[in-house]
Amino acid sequence: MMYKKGKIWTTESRLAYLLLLPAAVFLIVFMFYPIVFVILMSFFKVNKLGNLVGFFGTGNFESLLKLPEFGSVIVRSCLWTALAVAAKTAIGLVIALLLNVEFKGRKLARTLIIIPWASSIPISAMLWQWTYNNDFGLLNYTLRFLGFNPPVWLAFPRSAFFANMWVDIWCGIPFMALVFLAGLQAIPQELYEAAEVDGATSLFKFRFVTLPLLGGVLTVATLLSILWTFNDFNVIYILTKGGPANSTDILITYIYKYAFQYIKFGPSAAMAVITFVILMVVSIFYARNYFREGVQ
Amino acid sequence: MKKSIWGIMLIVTLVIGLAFAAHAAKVRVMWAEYDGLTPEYATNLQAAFEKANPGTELEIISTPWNEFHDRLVTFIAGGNAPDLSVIGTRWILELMEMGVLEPIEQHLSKSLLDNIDPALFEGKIKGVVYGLPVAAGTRLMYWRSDVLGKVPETMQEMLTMLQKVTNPEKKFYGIAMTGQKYVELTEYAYFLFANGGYFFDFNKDGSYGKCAVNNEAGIGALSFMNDMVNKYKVTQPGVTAYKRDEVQNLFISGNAAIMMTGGFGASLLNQTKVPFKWDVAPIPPFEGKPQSSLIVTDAMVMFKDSKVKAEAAKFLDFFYSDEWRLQFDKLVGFPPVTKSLASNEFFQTPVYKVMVQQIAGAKPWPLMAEWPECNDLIWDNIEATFLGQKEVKQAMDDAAAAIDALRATK
Amino acid sequence: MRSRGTYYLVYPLVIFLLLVLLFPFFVMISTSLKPVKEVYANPPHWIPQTIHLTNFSDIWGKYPLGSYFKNSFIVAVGTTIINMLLCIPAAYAIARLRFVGKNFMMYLFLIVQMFSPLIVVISLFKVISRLGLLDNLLALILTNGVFTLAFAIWLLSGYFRGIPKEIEEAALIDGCSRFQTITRILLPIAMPGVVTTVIYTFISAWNEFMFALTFITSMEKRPLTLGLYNFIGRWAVQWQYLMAAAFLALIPVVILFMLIERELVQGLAGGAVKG
Repeated sequence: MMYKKGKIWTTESRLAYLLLLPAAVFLIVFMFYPIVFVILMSFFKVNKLGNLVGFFGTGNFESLLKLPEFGSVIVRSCLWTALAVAAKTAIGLVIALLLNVEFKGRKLARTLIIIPWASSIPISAMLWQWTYNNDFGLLNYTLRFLGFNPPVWLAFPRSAFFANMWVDIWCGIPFMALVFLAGLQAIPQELYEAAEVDGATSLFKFRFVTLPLLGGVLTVATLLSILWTFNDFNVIYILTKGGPANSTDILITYIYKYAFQYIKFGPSAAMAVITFVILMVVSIFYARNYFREGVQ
Repeated sequence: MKKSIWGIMLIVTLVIGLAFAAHAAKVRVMWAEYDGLTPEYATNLQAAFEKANPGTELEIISTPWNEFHDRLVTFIAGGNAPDLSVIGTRWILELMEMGVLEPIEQHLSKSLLDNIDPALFEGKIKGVVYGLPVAAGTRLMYWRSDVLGKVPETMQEMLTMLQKVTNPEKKFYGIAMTGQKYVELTEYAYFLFANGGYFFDFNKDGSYGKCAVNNEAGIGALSFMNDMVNKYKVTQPGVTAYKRDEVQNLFISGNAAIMMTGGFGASLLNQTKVPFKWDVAPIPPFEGKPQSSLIVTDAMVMFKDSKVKAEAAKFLDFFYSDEWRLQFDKLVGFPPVTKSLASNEFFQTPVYKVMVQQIAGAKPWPLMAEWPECNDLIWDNIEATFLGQKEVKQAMDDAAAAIDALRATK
Repeated sequence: MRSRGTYYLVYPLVIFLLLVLLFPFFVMISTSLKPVKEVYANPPHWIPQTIHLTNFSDIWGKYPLGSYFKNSFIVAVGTTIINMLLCIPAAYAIARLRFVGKNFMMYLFLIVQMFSPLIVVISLFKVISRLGLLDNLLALILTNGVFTLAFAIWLLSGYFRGIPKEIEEAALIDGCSRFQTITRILLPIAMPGVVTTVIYTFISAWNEFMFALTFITSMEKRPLTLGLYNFIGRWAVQWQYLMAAAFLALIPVVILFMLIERELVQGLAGGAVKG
């Protein structure tokens, strides 16, 4: 356990690099070319076959800034991500806490909670499209039965935005709940017992025992969820395709449109790089504390 | 440590090198999974072709239609284009701009070319056939003969009739209309063409001029649609949420008096054995305008880089024989593209007859590489009018200006 | 967190959450049991008027669902194995060992997640076709591995880090090798985290769609997600079939989960660390 500052090749770090090598090589073999190529494309003129035909400087980025709606698309992407991740985290945490309590039928409840995750996102989105349908869908039928007057969810900008977001949240809840549950299981019971001896309330225990010890897992899960949600393409693509009147377009649906429908690989790569920068900044900012703890 | 990295890189290079080794000669076809076309059809076709042509392999890359364009783009941009592919004919200009298409005409046998209905050669660019028609169909009007009593002859007459039968309380709507941004702008095209309009003006040499959706015909068509949606409310509520299949479902469930869609609608109505009476008719024109429907064709294209062009042509000869085409046409619900099947008794029903009868006056999608972007610009503005965000004239002016600006920068 | 009073809160809450979360699956089951005529009944029925099991036999007979299942299974299991082999050592290194460039490595892994598969799919297609892996399930195993590895390393190292390292250090001093401390001490304690990672990987691979669409060209190698697209057509969606097939696709995942779910609640809670 000797560790001297500035020395890279200690036995410990040598072992660390050895253990990381297979994973790193694996990722580099597959992802080095695709990622470098995306970054290159964003600074080049790219023909319809995806070949670089000449240096373009920041031309691709400038062409995006000229789009009148581009600013609002970025704002919407961030809003989409922030709201959806917050909701997933909150609901996931509540479920994890509930399932951490011992009660009869807990095993069944735990299995049932996982189900939304067990279906692939495109199929889940189709399922929700069918559920949202105003004529044959059972959601509005049930809501009407209960005396509400629901809108045609996907027809209007605001309701479509939230209807899309709910599907994304719904798909993400089980993952969150499961990750938190596993984190909760790792908290030694003794700590709670010690707190109880000191006469702590449930809320106190949650705030000063559960949350701090769950902190690492919480940070990782939300960070990963941010990356996921920002790039969640399938839900919007299947439910509204960015409509009505652009109200559900986020960066990733724009990337899709530019790359696969308009065959404009340059601007689409530029958007991918913008996405990358946004996510990188968020990750560095967000994970700072996590690393500070870890490195000590 | 360094040694092992070099070792791994060496292995990777070797694997990559090996993969470059030549493949056995075979024809690869990107094949569309049409509704109604069973997976067995492709399997049988492949087996029969290989049996009739020993030594030639056929690989059918069966692809869901909604993902077809993306997959084709990936294959082409990924440097692995197939030899043949089904495409929506409107993609042809985009593919030509990529420089990957082979003029297919020179490879086709004369008997095959002669057997195709000449009106369907949408994929003929400057006199050369690039796309061999695979399926072609005009869009038609499905109407409830038990509710409406007679076919509306004009759009105006249709509106009057629909106002009488619409009854939102009983969930009965005059016309089921799509309004969600979809891959195609079909609903607007029906009304635009019925009003004698088109998306673009034409220059003297036949090329596309300025965008024309903001001329009298274009604005008239959209105003009419807006009136149906917002003023007279003869459509289902929440039009902007509806995709094509959802509109069809509304008609199938007996909740709409009229819908406009393709020939496959009839197959669906027959499959579900609907309890009401329905019929088909040409899409009615506006008063004083000529009847005109939308014609959508799919075509088979050949790729420049193909090393098996002769074999690919052989496959087309095989596929376009009456035996295989008849089965295909029956399953997919389009009228035949080959002359030799035109008089086949299977295609003498009203649905096929109306589809064929409309061909002469029908208009196709514009053939231009930047059409997908133009399509989106028009759609977004149409939706804005439905939602009350823009006036009709303003919306169409915006769309036309944006499209002209887009095409000018090319 | 275990006082009996909380029961009165727990049951209603759990039932409410389950109802909300599972709502679409009631829709799924209901639709999968309806004959096509009733699918388009307006207003719809919650309970099918005639229970129509033929949807299931129809899809099983007309489409090679069996081989779709087999392919998905191969891909999901293969991805999980590769992933665990690579991510356990990496996560251990990150959680337990001190070395220069740790943060850099972590971000490097994370970068992979910042590019949506959508944007790299064409380049990845080039890589896969150069490796000669087109229309090969191995292509899906490898690419799914790539796209789940970063998450797996982050997740697992997070769990490892939450476990006091004193136990392992004691074992090391007692003469256990590193390998032994990992397999005999760390992994059993971290079982909930390992299981979570396994489930995450398995489900991601089971449900992946875009790579399957891009890399698999023949009908018989299709995994289930792609196979389900048989029912989503250009003109119409065969809802009763799609729902029936989607329901069948859930079953293996749920069974897997039931089998290893018990491991989730062991580990530390099971008392491994006491004393």
